[in-house]
Amino acid sequence: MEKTLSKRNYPLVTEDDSYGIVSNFPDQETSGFIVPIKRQGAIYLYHLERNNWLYLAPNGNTLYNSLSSFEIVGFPEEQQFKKKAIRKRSHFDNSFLQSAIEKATYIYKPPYDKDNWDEAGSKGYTKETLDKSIHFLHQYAKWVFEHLKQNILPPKIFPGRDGGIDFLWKNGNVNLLMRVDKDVSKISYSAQDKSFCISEGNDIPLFSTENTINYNIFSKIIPPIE
Amino acid sequence: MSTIEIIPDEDKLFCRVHKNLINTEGDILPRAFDPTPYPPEIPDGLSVNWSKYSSAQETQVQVKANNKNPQDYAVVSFTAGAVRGIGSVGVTHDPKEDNLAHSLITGIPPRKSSDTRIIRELQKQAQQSWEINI
Repeated sequence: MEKTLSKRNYPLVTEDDSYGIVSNFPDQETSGFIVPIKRQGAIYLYHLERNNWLYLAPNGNTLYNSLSSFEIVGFPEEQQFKKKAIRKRSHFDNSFLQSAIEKATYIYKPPYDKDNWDEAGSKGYTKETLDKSIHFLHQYAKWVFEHLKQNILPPKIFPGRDGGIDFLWKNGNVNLLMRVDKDVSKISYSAQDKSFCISEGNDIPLFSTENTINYNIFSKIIPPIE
Repeated sequence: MSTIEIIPDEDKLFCRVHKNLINTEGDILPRAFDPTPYPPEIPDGLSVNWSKYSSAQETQVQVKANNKNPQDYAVVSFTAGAVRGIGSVGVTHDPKEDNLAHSLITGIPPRKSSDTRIIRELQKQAQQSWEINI
């Protein structure tokens, strides 16, 4: 099977791709699920648990990296690869976010509902902003599930900048700060995984002119999954 | 006028955090590290105190001068070198008449292309270095 995926800053693996697991690999840390790909003559493996790429250099050295485009070359027949189904959930379930959302309701209550709640001039927060932010979070969680078949981890939800909301993940594989503005019309994000892959963007419009979410943003964010 | 000195990488920088910028689980809000906008003639920056001329306790008590309650403020610390290591961030001694320790973490104005990364990194570093918890 050969398949070309669209160009992305941070490539994602879809359900349609071939998955495998490396066994007897020299680097013991790579005992996770992977998908083999070929790009410019080299072999890359996508490590689903680490959310990054493993580059197999001709001299046997390895290097984790992120790529902008790649080709899947199918499941290798070599002995070191052993076919195995990817661990995945059967359905989307966002109830795991509920606890984090319930904890966040303080954001539109005193003292955070009034300006200058930090004695430094910060703006107050509204229930409307939090509700719209939570809706956005659900949309993001759904998108990640549709593309990775994994639920995102629950974020910490904080009062953000200028009346906006911050989502912070410091669990799983990634340290991700996602900030939405007061109108939940723009997003800024910065993510770094344990292999020091970074993705970031600032003040990116969340909606297209047709008032639909610009899902292209989501594909560029290192996902907060286990 | 006080002399502006170079802050060594190994020195600490103390930073006050208002109690409302810490949630009930002890997490410091990233918002704590968004600098307050200054007038245009003053460079943007996050105010901190250099450990050469101040302590964590002195940093906390300083808010009395602004008629604020010191008990409403926790203090965290950064290491100057770690802050510089974030990249595109500066640490500058900015002494005031009434505060020789005053310094600025510069390079984090709002809506700069990399400011979200800087805020995330500062939050991560601060969360690991409580000096005075409240």
